[in-house]
Parts: sequence; C-alpha cells; structure tokens
Amino acid sequence: MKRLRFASWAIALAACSVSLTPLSAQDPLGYSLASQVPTLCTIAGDVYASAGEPATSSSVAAGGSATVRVNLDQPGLQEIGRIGVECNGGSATVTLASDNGFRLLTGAGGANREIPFTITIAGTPVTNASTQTSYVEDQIGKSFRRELFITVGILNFLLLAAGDYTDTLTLSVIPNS
Amino acid sequence: MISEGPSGGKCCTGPRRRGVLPAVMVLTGIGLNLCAPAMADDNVSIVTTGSIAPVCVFDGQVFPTAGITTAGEPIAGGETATSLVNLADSRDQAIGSYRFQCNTPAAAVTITTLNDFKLVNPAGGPRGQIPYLLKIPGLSQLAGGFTVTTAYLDATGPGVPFTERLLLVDVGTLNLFRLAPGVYSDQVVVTIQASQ
Repeated sequence: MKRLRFASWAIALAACSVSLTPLSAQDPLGYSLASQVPTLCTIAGDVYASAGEPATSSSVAAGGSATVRVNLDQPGLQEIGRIGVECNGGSATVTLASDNGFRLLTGAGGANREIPFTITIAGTPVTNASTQTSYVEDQIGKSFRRELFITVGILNFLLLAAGDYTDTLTLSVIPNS
Repeated sequence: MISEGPSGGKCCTGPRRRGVLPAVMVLTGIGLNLCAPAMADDNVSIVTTGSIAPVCVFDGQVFPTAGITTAGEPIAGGETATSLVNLADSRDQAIGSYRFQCNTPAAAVTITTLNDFKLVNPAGGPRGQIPYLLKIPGLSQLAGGFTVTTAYLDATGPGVPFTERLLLVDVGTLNLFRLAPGVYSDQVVVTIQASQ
C-alpha cells in the first residue's frame, strides 16, 4: 500500500517537473500587493422629540430619521438635537437640505400656510433663502458634534391656518478627498 | 450614535473559509479594494413639526341706549355692559354688536340668554315676562324663535378680516298695561368656538 502511494506521488512530481520551467536566481517572481482604504465619514446624532428638551432625546443612526416637535409660540432659538460627524481622516462637507425650503408647511403650503424658520448649525444660521447649505468640517480623524437650533419668528396665529406644520431636514456628509 | 462604525464602508468581516483565503488574496491584492465601497453620502433626516391651534379673537360693543349705534361701549371677553331697551318701540332695536376673526375655516357661535330670551321682572310674577326676538341681520337662524342655544357656522379663515354682526332685539308691540311695573332684564351671552 505504501509503495503504491509513493509511486503515485512520484508520477505526480514527475509530471510537474515536466510542465514547469526551471527558475534561476536572477528571475524572481514579483507580486505587487495594493489596497485602498477610502475616506469614510458617517453622520448620526441625537434628536429631541420636543425642541429644547434634551431629556426627550433619541439616537438617530446614519440613514435613520427622527421627528422633533417645535414650539411655535416660542420665538428664539430652540435646540432640536445634536449631529455628530466622524471621518477616518481628511475633511468632509456637511450639507443641510430642506424639503420645503426651510419652511414649515401645512398641506401644500401657500399664503397663510407656511412658517419660515432658520436652522443654526455650527454657529451658522441658515435661512429659507436657499434650499440647502453646506460647510466644511476639518476635524481629522475625530468625532465631533454640532448643536442644531431652530428659530421661528413671532407668529400671528390668526394669520396662520390652524393645523400641523412640517418640513424634513436632511443632513449629509461627504468626504472631501 | 456616532460611535458606531461607518455605515457606508462595511468591510468584509464575514466568516472566512480556510484554504480559500490565500488564493483570494493573490487575486484581489493587485490594486483592488477588499472592502465594499463607501456610500457617496451618509445622511440623517429630521422631520420638524409644529402645530397651530385653532384660535379666534372676539370682542364687541354694547349700545347703552338700544337703537343708537353711534355710541357703543367696547367690551372684551368676560365683560358685560347694559343696553336700555325701549319697550314702547316695536321696531328692531340694536343693542350691540360683536366681531371675530379665526384661523379656521369655520367657527361656531353660540348665543344664549339668562332668561331664555325673555325680559324678566322677578317681582312681577306671571305678568313680569316679556318674550323677545333676538335677530342678527343676514342670518335667519335666530330670527324665528327663542331657541336657548343657537349655533351657526360662519366663514372664517386665516387672514380673513373681522366679521362683525349686529344684535337686534324685537320686543314686538306690547300692551304695557298688562305688564307688572318694574325693571325687566335679561343677559345675552355670546361665545365663539373655532372649528376645523
């Protein structure tokens, strides 16, 4: 039995030696290995169910959504949550966009059915002058948080239709590299 | 939470099969990325909501002498003023007016009186009551009877100017000899409730 197994190995080795070209010391084989770790950023945060009340905070993972209820009879800044951006290097651009051009709408909006508001992020107020804004985060390899505030003006409730008003804000992060 | 790993770049962390790994390394090691590509953008959404409650503003004026509308006395919610009705006058006599503005498409106005639309002289017994009609020009609901509570909807809405209504009292033609002498009174109460 052992002889038979040895014979089969010998035949296999002989076949290999026939098919392979002998190597010389001057012709090494070179294997170039390369890989890439892309610049990655993620965004997540905590959103308050009731603006200005951190105790109502809930976590929102990347790709997630949460709802915050704003007190419309309270002029001035109301904190609605905190956003965290984490990158593995480089800088990133954070974009804040609004479905309704930074206006809370009831129904389809229109006269007497919309409430302009301002979002303050990273100390920069964003008004309804545009549908989105962006800024650059340059914290390399760190995670950091930005407080988000909403401001509604002094409203004349008699000039606004009674009902629920809403808008959806989307915060995105894109690596700059 | 932000302490979680990047959602856009999930690396190949699944179970590896022994014996296959070396071959895979050779094939993919030449300028290829072992990880799934990161998402172009990572985002979170915040739905922002707020509510505007139904609300009306409401005030009025009372004419101290019924029928004389040039000297109204302003009254606000919770206030009362007196209008002196001429029982010898069978015509409609304006006792006051009210006005309102609401942010809703409708509002319910309720008008009640303390004595069920009767001027009452408590000392007069059966001869101490004078039924009257309360009328609001433009609205027929109140003209026909002495309904204790009468409600109607009026067109309102955000930005709509104040709606003003006049309150008229019609005591009809009275035979004063069949009425007990004394002071007759009633109190009209007008309330408004915004409704969707």
